Amino acid sequence: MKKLKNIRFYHLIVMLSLFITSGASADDMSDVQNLINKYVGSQTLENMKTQAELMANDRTYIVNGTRYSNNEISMALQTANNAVIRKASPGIKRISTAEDVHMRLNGDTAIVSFYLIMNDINNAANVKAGQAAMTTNYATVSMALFKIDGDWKIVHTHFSPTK
Amino acid sequence: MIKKLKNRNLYKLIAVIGLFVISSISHADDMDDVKALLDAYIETESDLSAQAQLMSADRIFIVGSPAMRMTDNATNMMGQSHVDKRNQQLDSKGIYYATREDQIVRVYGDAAVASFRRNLNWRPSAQGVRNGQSDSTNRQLVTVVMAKVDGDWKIVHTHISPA
Repeated sequence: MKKLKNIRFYHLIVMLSLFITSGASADDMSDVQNLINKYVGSQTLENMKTQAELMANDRTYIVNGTRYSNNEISMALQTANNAVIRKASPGIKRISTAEDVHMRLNGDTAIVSFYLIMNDINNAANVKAGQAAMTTNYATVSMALFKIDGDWKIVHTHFSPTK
Repeated sequence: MIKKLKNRNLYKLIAVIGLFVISSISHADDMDDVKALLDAYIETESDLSAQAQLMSADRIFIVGSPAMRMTDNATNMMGQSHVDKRNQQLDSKGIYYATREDQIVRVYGDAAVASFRRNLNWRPSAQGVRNGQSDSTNRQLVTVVMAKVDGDWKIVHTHISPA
């Protein structure tokens, strides 16, 4: 009788642990989605420090036919480039959006791909001088994320120009 | 009592050491398996039906400039195989092979991320040259994400852009 109770108890534990696993997976999915949202939200012409915090120190980054394996330098380059654009066109603003986000979770790793649309809104003076009010860059992006010490971090990014 | 306690501690120690050993051995095996999979990916560039066996059915493939994303791997590989067959018909004695340089591989539990430079080389036969073909090399930067699916490593995501 006691043995039967024990077996039922173990069954209960197994069932509960299955529920816990699916809960963690749903949480992971929303955590990854949140991180992607933060990444897209920080794809601006400002300092890239906020975005850099979403990344592992050893993130690899492929863009424009180049692979960067030093994330600190890669992000410093992006920040410097943004500063030049802001200085050349004061008031310019970049608003980015992501479309058709595809996510796949594999344990503590997530593989994500999406279309990134980066819209640069020009300042009034440039528009009056004949420039376009908005220019848009399209990219197809792959991202690999890994849960490091409980936090999801971007460990690899690959950009390809699109459209 | 002391002896029992000592035994218990000994078992704990053995268990912990065992876990470390098993974990490091499996990690080393995984790295070997992942590298072997990447080798096979390169070597099967001229045999796409063999290459398709290295992939999960739901592999995502991003390629081109402008880039496109393909989520139906069977249809994608069918298209690639068709191009290969056509090239073979145009010059059956020409050789087509891939080479790879500067590979970076990281294993994250049951997933792995690799990036490398790949050269796709076409060397036509003498007859092919007489018919107007010439040597060509297509330089690429490639991201390959792999996942352990039911104990086997499979390619689940590929992103290729011009280098």
